[in-house]
Amino acid sequence: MHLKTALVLCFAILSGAMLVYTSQRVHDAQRTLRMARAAVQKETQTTRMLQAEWAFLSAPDRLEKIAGEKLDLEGGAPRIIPSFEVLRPTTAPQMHDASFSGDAGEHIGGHE
Amino acid sequence: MIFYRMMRRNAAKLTGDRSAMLDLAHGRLVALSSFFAIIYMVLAVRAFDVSVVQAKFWNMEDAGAIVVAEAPEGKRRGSIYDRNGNMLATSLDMASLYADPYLIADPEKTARGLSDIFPSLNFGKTLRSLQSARRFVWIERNISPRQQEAVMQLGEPGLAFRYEEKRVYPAKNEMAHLVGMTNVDGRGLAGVERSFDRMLAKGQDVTLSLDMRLQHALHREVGKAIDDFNAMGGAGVIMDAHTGEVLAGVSLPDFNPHEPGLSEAAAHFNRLTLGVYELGSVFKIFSTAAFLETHDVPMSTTFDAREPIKVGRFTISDYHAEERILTVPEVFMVSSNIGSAMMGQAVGGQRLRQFYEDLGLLSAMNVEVAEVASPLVPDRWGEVATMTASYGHGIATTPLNVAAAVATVVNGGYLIEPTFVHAGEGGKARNNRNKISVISEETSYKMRELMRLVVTDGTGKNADVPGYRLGGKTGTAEKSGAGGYQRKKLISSFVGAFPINDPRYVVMVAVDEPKGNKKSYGYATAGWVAAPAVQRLVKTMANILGMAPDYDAPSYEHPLRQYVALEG
Repeated sequence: MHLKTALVLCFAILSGAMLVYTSQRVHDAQRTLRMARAAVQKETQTTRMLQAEWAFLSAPDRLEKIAGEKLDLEGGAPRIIPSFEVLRPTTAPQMHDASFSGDAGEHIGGHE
Repeated sequence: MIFYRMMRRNAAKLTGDRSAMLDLAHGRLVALSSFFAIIYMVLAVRAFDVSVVQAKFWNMEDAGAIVVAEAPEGKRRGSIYDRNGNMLATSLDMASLYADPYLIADPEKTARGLSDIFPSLNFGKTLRSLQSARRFVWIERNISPRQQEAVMQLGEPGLAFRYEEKRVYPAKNEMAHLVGMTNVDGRGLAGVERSFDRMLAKGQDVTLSLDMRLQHALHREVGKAIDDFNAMGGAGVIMDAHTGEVLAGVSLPDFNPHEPGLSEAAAHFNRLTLGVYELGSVFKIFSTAAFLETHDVPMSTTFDAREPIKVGRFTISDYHAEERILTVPEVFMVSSNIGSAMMGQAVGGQRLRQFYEDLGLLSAMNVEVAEVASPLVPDRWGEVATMTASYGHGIATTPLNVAAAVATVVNGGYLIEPTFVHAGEGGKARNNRNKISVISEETSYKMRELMRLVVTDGTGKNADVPGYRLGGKTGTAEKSGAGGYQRKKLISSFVGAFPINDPRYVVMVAVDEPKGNKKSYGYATAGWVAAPAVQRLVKTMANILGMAPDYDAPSYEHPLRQYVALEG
């Protein structure tokens, strides 16, 4: 009888301890999840705020105004845009491949 | 414990019933003691858990994080982006400061501190609020994080914050009509905010076809045309000629979506999609296309424009009367109403109406903004209506309808339905690729030649940009009023496409009631008002889109020159 009681008691204590441990783990996991969600939300909120701020700062009308007032810049004429056909390398690249014949610099420029 | 030992000693001397009773009492005592011991143990373990194990989680930062986690993120309204990922609208949590005067320890010191942080606050008023008997007083709404930090530094327990969602539009006025706005409860009231309200309310983002850079360029040029010619308003659109994506759309005057109440009612009217106007000669693009589509005739076909035409009580005459016989290219180039009316007659009333219908000119556009208008079409499409509709009188439609129809004419002839949603999102642009053919490739080619001729030698010379082969058509229409058409109240518009050999973009600018100026020699016609605006716009577009000019390209309109009597 005494042994039985002791065994039951031991079992109850062990079960209780396991229950406490398990519930503690669950609590920890829930807390970690909550904090991860909070961190994600905070980051999302910060990103959103930064995106809005960036959109304000890089708004074309603002940039145009600043470029005109501070840097005395104006919109470029279309003729300043070159096509790939008219682009040539400023210095001819040096080719040392013995098997390659002809003008190496011009050849590469043509591919550009 | 002593009592227990004594009991055990005495029990050892007892026998029989008394011994059994003592054993029972002993057992109960042990059970009760064990029960209490377990309870105390559980409490001790829990106390250790709360005070030691969990203590590390409960510092200020984590507590704050948990509070944030409990905020209803799912209810946050989605954002709106342009095609390049630039933010056009979003919702931000803004802190608003309130006070509980009952908890304010030193109202005077607090009021002084608040006045320093918020220069707009009046010290006296704030002090009165803080000394009031109420338990809730708003101090300042939508404060910045820096101001919030400064308030917290005051260390006053009676000051607290409430977080409110505020809709922010970084592009401000420039996209106001298309992006729209929300009310204080965050429900969409206009534009995309209204038409995508359900989706945005669920927290889903929307990506539009608009390009913020092109939008700014269009906004600037339409605005300049309005300022230069002291006009009442204007509208403009840039559209992808193949997908129907609207890259930019402007209606002026406009409003600041952050403070919509400060603008007049007229500023809230979207002229691009909701305004219906008689746009005049730009309709010659469609009547000429109908004529070429239905008649297999050479470009040398002539029309007698020596005399105005009388139809019933109406007289059709030319604005720039050539008073001679004109070929098809000449009719288009000099914008002859007489010639176009004759073309319309040749096509026939029903066929012309059906052709306009096929181009989408006679019905409301099915686009992703709620503010769309149905065109105004003559009730009875008789001979007069056929002839006047050939040069854009007696038929009123939105600038967006016209731009989409022009895209259909120049892109090889397949139907374009405009869309404000980026094609990548599965918008209507996908449908446009189904290529429902409205006119033949050959007619489309001829129309492109004719439109180029208008810009090189006709009424649209001021729109030409060397190297980009812009083709287009001017339109100057008198506005109709109570007493009929008003000669001094015009709608001047230009619609074009470039590069005309394989159009990628359709551009349109329409200016409402421009007044002639010194530079235009008093003229307020499309060639002086809208064409230069389109020229400036195309130059800017070329820079933004990195389109290199092609000065050596063969003259696209050259084959038509043989049918044109050129001056000089």
